[in-house]
Amino acid sequence: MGLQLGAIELPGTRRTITQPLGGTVWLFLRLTLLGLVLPPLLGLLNGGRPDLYGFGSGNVCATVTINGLAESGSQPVAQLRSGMSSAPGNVWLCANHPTLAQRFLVTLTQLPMALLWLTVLILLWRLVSQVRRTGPFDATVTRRLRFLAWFVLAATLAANALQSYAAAAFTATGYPRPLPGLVGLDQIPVPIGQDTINGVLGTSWTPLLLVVCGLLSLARIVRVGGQLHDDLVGTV
Amino acid sequence: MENGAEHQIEVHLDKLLADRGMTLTQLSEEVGVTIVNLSILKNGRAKAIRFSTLTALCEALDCQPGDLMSWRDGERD
Repeated sequence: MGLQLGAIELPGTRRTITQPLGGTVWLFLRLTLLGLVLPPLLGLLNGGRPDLYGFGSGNVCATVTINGLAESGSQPVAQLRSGMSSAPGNVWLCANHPTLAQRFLVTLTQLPMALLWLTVLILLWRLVSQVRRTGPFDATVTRRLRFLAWFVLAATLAANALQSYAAAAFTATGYPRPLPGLVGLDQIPVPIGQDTINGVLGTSWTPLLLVVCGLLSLARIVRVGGQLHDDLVGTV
Repeated sequence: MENGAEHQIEVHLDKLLADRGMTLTQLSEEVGVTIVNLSILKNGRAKAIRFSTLTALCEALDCQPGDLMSWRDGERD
């Protein structure tokens, strides 16, 4: 007889079909949590200055674009052979005695992507748990896959926008001119709006769209599989 | 009728069982189909029936497939 109704109900099968995703997510979740806990602990042990995501007592640094800070956009970065040229791009900008606003901005240059990564891991873990509970051909699995796809798309763009804005705003605080807090940043020669748009446009679109389309297609496949499964369940 | 819509096939398993003085348990043992699946078939909740199951039922009940099921026109009900 061809298809066996109980094929996916064999003991341990639900656990097996979630691999290797289940094991990988499990590993990355623990590594991420370790990455959140270890740096402050090591900081405490080494110099008593725990630093993480801009918080702490030391200086704060962020990778920013040189736009707005460069005196001349055409100055080369290094002496090169004749026929080769270079231009300043990203720089590692630090505030040695950061204000609260600068700390907050540096936090915003790193935290959104870290939170996105953690949330995606949690969503994947919930998906794996759902498959283990109900099997793969459940309507909830389809819903979770679809939600994950749209979440990855929206959250990546939002995180990129926020991080780019924060990096540009942090760069603006480094400009040698008194700053009235965060108000009036648009008056400083750092193109914050343009940098934010560039940050979103600079998203790695190919892998992002492939992942989103892959998840949406997978959701459709699981939905069709669910219909076939329902038919099989009703077959005597 | 759309694929996946409610069907209009009536199964007369209970009548055939009564005519032959058989119980569902006896039929289950004879055809090798679980009582649960036979109940699903008897109550009209089955979505499909395998030819092998149909053959076994016809052999056990000594009947034709047409005796086992009939089409009911839902629009005339």
